[in-house]
Amino acid sequence: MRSASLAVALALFALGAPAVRAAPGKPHATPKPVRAAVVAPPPAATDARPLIVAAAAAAKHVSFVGQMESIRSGTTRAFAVVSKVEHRAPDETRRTYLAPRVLYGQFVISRGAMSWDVDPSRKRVIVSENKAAVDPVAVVDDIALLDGNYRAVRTATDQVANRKTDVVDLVSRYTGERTMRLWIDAETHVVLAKEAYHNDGSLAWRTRFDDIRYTDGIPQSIFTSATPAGYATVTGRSYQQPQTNPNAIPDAGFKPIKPKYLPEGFVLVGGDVNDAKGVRNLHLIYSDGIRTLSLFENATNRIADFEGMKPQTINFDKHDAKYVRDGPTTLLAWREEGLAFTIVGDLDLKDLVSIATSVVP
Amino acid sequence: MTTHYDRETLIDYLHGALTPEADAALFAHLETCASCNAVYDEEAALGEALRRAARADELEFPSMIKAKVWDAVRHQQPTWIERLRTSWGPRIAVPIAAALAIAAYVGTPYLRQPAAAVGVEAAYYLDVHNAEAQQNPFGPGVAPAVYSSDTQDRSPASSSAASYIDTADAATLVDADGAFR
Repeated sequence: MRSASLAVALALFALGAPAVRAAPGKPHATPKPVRAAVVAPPPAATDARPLIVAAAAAAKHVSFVGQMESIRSGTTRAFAVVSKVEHRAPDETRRTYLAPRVLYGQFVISRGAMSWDVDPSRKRVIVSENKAAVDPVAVVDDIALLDGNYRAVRTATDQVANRKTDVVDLVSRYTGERTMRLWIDAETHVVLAKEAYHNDGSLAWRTRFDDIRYTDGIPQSIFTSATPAGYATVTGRSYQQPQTNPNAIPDAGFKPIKPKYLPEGFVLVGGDVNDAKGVRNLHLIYSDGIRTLSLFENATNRIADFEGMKPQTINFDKHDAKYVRDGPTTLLAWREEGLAFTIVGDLDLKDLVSIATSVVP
Repeated sequence: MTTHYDRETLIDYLHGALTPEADAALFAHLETCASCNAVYDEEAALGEALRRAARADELEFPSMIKAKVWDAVRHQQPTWIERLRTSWGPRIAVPIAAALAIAAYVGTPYLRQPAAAVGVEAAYYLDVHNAEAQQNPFGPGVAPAVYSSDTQDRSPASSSAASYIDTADAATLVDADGAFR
């Protein structure tokens, strides 16, 4: 199924290619927004796959300035962040936080795989690298998976930030439930709003532009990565590009344990071995095209350190496990047979426990 | 006309019995007043002489009393418990202490398991997961580094982790025994 979906996705992705190729050799050239609309809007028919492909590629050739509100919803609380977003195609973005107050003035500049997190209150710049974030193969894989697991249905038109949008629902092919809703700019195909939902239909998270202005006139200077005078530079984490061949799980020095159960649609899409405090951690990455699930394993027999958090305890299959929630994301950790396991994902705790129960060393 | 301090006040000064303000004023006065300095020196010399005399008059116990005390100590009979403790105490206490230590070491293996050691930070796992999830064009995007009041800023400076840890979440799927259902 996956290879078939991949073929579909590649074909769909090719539809977006002319726009990407519009300015060869000029990575910062930004065509007029109207030129980005390379895919004709679907007719009354509801198949929105071309829109999905166009939306995935839009940021590579459309520059804009806007204000975005993000909401991450936990079980008992929701948290909002407001930020100003300045994006210069193809890959430069500055996100300046306006709220909450503790974040005010902090900004993050990203260029390709690199990011500079500037914190004026602490006078420091954290420089990080995330090669996975710019992996085009992974993006195509995600679209292929998405196409295999979800039906993209254009359900309506709407206005977001005074722009006309196509509303696209991503409906699970297994449960028939809507997992995500996108508001895609009808002209530029930039995603102006998106909402993800839990299995019970409740909102997991939402991002939405309050206003947006398309422009080629964003000065290069605001994306400078030079460290301001008097600021300390801190080397942040470096995230390598994971091995994307699921059959080639990296050697972590012990036999990797795969879960026998995964929610429908999830498949192993990559693996990586990374070092944390001298501990070799195997990181298995699963995805259904929208949601990502991480399973970490190491041979230390030490459960994750929850210092500074207030983890809850839960018992399953004779294991004392601990978990914390970070908005819609849940982290569950336990030990078994000399191995330490940690699962992280935007899934219900019940799903994570079902997966954990099926991880048998 | 210069005012001088009387002898009683100078004695109080010698004994540190004046108030801080009065002490400071008298100290300043002594810097410039030869008359008061003379009285002060007399009193100071007298006090030192009295202390020398007191030390010289310290008397020892008469030798007979000392001898009687030592005789009583030598002829005191210890009880049997005291004798046992004196003669066997170390020979019994040391092995018992060693046995208890071995029993504690062997009998409580979980105390020595690596589990007691600190594992990898949960924030690290959240960081790595979020970094991976960023590649998804339809994901939530970058989570800002904000900490709720009950988590504080507990991660290392290089962490961009784990924004809001929703610690208030109750595990509604857990029954009274803590078992998952």
